[in-house]
Amino acid sequence: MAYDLIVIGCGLSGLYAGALAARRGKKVLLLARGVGSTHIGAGTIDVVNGDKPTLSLLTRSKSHPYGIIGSQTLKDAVDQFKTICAEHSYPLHGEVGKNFKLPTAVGSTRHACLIPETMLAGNLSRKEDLALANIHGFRDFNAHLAISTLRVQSLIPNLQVIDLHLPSAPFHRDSYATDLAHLFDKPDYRAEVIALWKPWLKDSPKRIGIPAILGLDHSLEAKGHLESELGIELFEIPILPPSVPGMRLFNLLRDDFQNHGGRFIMGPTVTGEIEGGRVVSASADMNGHIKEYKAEQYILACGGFLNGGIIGEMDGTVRESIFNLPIASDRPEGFRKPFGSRGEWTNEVFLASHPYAKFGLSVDKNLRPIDANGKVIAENLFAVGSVLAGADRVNEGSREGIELGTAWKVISG
Amino acid sequence: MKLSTEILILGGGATGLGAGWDAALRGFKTLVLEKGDLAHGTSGRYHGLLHSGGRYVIRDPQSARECAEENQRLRRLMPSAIEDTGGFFVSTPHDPADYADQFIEAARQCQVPFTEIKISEALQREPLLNPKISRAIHVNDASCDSFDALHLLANGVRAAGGEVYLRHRVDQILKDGDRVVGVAGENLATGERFTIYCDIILNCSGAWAGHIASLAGCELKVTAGKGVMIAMNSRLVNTVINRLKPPSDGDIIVPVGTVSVIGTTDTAVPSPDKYSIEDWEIDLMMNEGEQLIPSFKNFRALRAWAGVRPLYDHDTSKDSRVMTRAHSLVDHESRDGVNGLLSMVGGKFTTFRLMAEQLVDKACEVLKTDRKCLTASNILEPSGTKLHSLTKRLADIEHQSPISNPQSPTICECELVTREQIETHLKESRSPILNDLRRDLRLGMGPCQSGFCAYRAAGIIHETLNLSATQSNAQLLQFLQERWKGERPVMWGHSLHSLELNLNIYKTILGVDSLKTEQEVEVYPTERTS
Repeated sequence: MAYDLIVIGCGLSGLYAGALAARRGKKVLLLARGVGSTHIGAGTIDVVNGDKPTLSLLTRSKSHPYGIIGSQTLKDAVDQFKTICAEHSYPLHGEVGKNFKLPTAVGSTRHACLIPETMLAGNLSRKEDLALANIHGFRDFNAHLAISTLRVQSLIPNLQVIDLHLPSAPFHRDSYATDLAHLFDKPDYRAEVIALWKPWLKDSPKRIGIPAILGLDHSLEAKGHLESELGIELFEIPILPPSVPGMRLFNLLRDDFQNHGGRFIMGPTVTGEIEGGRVVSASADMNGHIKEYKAEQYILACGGFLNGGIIGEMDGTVRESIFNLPIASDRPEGFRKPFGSRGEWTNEVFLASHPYAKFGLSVDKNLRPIDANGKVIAENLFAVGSVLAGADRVNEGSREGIELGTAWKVISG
Repeated sequence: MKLSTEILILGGGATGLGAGWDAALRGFKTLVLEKGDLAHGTSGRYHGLLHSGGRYVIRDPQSARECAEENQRLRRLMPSAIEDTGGFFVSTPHDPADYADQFIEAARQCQVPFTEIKISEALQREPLLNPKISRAIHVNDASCDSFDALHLLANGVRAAGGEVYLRHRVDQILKDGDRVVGVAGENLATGERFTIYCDIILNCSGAWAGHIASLAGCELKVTAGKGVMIAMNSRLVNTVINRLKPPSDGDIIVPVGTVSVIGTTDTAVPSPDKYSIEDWEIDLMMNEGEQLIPSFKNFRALRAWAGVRPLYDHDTSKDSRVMTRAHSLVDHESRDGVNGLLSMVGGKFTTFRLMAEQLVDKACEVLKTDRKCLTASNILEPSGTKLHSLTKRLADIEHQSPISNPQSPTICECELVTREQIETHLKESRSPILNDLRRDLRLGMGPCQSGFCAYRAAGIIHETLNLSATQSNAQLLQFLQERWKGERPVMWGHSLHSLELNLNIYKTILGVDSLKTEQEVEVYPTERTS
């Protein structure tokens, strides 16, 4: 069976591209080795750290993915994504060019362009009293540290910590965010939580932050239930992986893709074959059982270093893992000796910007990978998301913006 | 702060603590000063080998004999810090063919115990070993956790009535004419100045010994020899593996707990405080590792570090050296005309006890008293939470009831450090430094290199020690940077994934780069008592 489109990778960009194509009636196959960065992110759509001028700086850069797709495409991509999320009753709030200022689990602030309703009340531009819940025994969120740090910034006059317990969990191990999220999906469990928490919230601030554990499948229902019974406003704070809000986005897009007829195969290691300037097939290796799939067009959404889409070797070579496409950097040497020595890939300061972050695929204006001479490598191959060169996603806060924007660009043309 | 003591020891590494333990057992009023934390210097930065002596049988027979004797002794004295892994010397196709026979002859002469075993047996015991090896000789090498060993020694000093002060930096040696009478310096934890008077100073500061001697106006040429080591992310072997060839770079793999360490290189560096790890050094050792274990390079390198060996330049015209080539005892009275200062330089971890014994013997001579050394038979008992093995921790967690204890979740999942262990340790040490917790409890030393535990632990020190947000966050940032220092030299393959994950956690999700903290602050809520 031949497909119209094969997408490789199921991070935000692969799933979004797959869903958009399936919505347009295309026959789409999505192949992925494992989940992408949704599961370790914050579950928000980050477009840029900072204000409009910072964004337009990036959209004017020729080497940055934002520069290649342009600001209108970025805006359209984000708007369309909002529409899809709303259709799945998981509305996102915000718009390109504006940022929410949200508290983090250490009490610093982070910026996000689109946020789910479960994070809305955490908006630090609002000055009302705010409390964070320290969940007894839950190691991935420390409200004491977060509140102390928030106090230093004096954004909000009245800040408090409330120590809360959860009904004893049926796990024979320490619990992760996902364990608790599954429990919060259940009305019975929530009723127990409400009974336990109610006495402690009587005189507390009415705006209460908890770690992001508020249900995977029924988060808004859980939020509404707790808020109405406890008489408070509740918001989530992103915590250490696994990311519950990120998994909600993954599940939502996967469902949307499959509801529109998309076929999703998760697990195999994928390699692609290019012949005579075209991708001819993608091979899926499932524990030694290899199957070949063919399509008219292919989208490479394999991610960057974080996801195994780009691999840096000990001998100093850097390669793309599916098609073995040439990797570029923004060094002046370009393709010839793009990476320097291994020691030059990183900065000696951990939190600084690391040069390797901008390594990736160079593409033409239609997001087709190009070689050192600027020539398109395969006319039916497009690259989206974190495999693209030219962006320092962690520093710019641009990961999701690039993922959505480039996926939209390829599908909508 | 003003104090007086009989014997003052500068340097809290194996030699200094060993000397402190020895002197205290002989009944001297003893004080050990260390400018950093325990195991801060070279003793905490070696590959963890307790030498059988095999490495030295050809080049340095006396060292070989000393190692063989001390090896047996330390196994009795500090069993909890030593794992009896045994060691193999193996001939790979790249090693000189006649070296094995030379080795056997020399080992016999030095009385270093050995047994040649069949290749098939060696490969059965170490399946990853290069199948092309042609000889395999078993020796009594062992793996020694130097963090544990130094804790045992520090406890030994205290149990015998001596004192160990950490983070006390000496910047002045006080003299009365030609006589050394004490030191002055700064408590780095509190900023307080101290003066300590003493009858004699034992300079055990290793690669820093030249600097200390210069404070007394003596010239002591100690060169810092940098040795680079790499920890591989799995226990590739259960036996120490050595090459049957003259000592050189990357010729040994030591199993240490859950990892294995390949070492080492030897490059002179201008200062023991400033050196870097170069790409070529890493490449060299990864390639040498491949000779011992084919596909070595396919395993993940977790981190790299370097230690600085104190290499002593003998100045024979002035020197009254008494000991072997391996370590040297310098009496600054006969050498420089300065009374009351002895320096112990060179040497190796395995022979620290012997070095301490010789040093304190000499101190007795100077102080005109005759007291017998007792360290050869005193057993150092483990204390409390500090000694551990991963398997014991796993058993403790699995046998607690209920298994998941909300009072004490597992904070560092790689090394199984619980909240309770951290809190107990903090209440005792009062040190807010996450890096101290790492050395004491192994927090953040596993595969994720603090990705998950640094945040959790920063919260716990914040709560337990009542630190301000600024102090806690500074500790978090410092710890992340300190971990990064060791990861950076091996940044390829899986380690790059891990870096991206950690950056994603700390920058994208937690936004720690926007924290306003004073970098480099090392703030204590209360004075750290020793």
